[in-house]
Amino acid sequence: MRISDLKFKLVFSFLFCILFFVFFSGNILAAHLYFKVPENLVGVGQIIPVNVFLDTGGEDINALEIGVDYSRDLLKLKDWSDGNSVVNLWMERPGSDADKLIFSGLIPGGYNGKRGLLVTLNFETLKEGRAGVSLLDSSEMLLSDGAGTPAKLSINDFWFYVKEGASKLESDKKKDSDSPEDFKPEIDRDDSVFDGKYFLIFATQDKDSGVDYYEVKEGEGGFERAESPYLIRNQRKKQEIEVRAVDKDGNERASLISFVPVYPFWNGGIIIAVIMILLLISSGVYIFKKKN
Amino acid sequence: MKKIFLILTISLVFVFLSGFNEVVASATSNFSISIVSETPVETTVIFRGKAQSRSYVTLLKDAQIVAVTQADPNANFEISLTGLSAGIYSFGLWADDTAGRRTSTYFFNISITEGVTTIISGIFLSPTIAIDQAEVRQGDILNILGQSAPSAQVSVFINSGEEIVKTTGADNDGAWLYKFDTTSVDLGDYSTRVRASKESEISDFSPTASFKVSKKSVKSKKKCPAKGDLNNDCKVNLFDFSIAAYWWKKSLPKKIKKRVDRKLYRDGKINLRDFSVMAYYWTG
Repeated sequence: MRISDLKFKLVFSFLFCILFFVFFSGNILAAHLYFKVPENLVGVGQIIPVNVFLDTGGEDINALEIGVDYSRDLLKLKDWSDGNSVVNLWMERPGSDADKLIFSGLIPGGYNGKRGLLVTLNFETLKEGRAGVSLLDSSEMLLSDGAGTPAKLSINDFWFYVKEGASKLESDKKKDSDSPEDFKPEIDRDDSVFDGKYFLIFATQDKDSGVDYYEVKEGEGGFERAESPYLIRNQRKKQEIEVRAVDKDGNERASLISFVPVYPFWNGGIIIAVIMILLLISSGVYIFKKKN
Repeated sequence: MKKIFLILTISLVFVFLSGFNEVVASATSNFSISIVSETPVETTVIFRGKAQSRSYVTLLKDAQIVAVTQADPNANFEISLTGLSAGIYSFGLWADDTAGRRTSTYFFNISITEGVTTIISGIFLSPTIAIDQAEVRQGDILNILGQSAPSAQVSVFINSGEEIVKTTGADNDGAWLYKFDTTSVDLGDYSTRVRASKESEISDFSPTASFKVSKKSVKSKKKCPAKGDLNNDCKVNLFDFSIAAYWWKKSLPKKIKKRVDRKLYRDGKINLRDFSVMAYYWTG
């Protein structure tokens, strides 16, 4: 074989491999999570929003459990937001004081796209250095196939730089003036939840700053922080229950539901009434017989 | 020189084809979105499409029911939502036909812009499907039926390893029927689903109906979602999610374990797989 032929074959094979990868990479690449920040260089003592995005790699994803680690000597998690997230329901929201930052969510119907926002993590920069944000190996995403099949997930580390004197991060985000989306709480009872007692369920989204918390007010009582499912305190009292969703900028959306407890006849006052009636009848029969 | 030219030609072919892939992917969407900008208006989304004649069409917004409307005799429906905030929304649509059979849920995500009317048209919900027997004696006829848009062509896909595809037509009321002769098929488990086409539109696939070809016949029962319905109300929604969320990462009592394994992912616990199964069967 001549040297020039061998060279041609080597060059061709090399080029073919590269081009094969480029051509097919859109199809065989796993789903992957990636981070985006407004600037890659920020100053000390600033709040930097780190957006966590999902590229599903052409697949439909409907459930995810994500663990995030970060340079704890350089960054402090101040807050987080699910505003405009593709996740509709959370099993576990990001915690700001956990050792590991883990969140789990559900997307009924699935999401298939390249730029699905999951959460925004707001970090405060503590000191100079190269700040890293990465995903834990335990992170998982599942396909919307009815079988709970794990999606292939690729994980890349992400870095940005913190330097004293770097330009102040200007936020182009205007204050959220919209309330969370309208929602309808529901009341249910199931023997697998709260020992069969009545509970309240509710869920909504906020398309801007994200839902911060919920509050529930039973009857004439005050509002108290609550999570769904919420065990109704006054199980036997007919009352109006108000649920309030509050977003990160303090906007509220409230919804009322009437609670009318219904108990089987062997529970509560009806059986007492039956006993009383029986006693009255017995007394009446006894008195009648005695007179005769 | 010739070899360099050959290398360059092949490179260009690959580059061209990789770009073409993206174009094909976007052309397979089966609805269109148009934005009508009027200043200033309430942010509105309008959904237009076909279901079944006089069926009840349900709209989900972010996994919860927000509207129900009835399609007209020609199976056309329109639903409007107003007063929305700008942002990304997940919408779902399904319909119950006049016999109470349900289509598959058509989910999609769109970004809504404040102050504009977004119109989503060209939606074509799947046909509904039912079978008259859960088990059919070999040699008997299995009736596969349902409803679609009036005069639509319905393609029936029957699977058991190999796929059999047959076609039938929907009548003026959208009712369709295919008589599947089981004489020449093997004993075993089968599944079937259908898709409709009308003019240039093609619907989604219907839910799947499963049946068995055996030596006896057993009538079909009313179908609730195969999985996900933890509280047995024939729906998969926030109630079921709340029950599963209550047990998230907790050890399950025996009674609950049995129910969860039957209705969700069979592994004796509630974890991400259970929620994924629930999300797949979600009805709202």
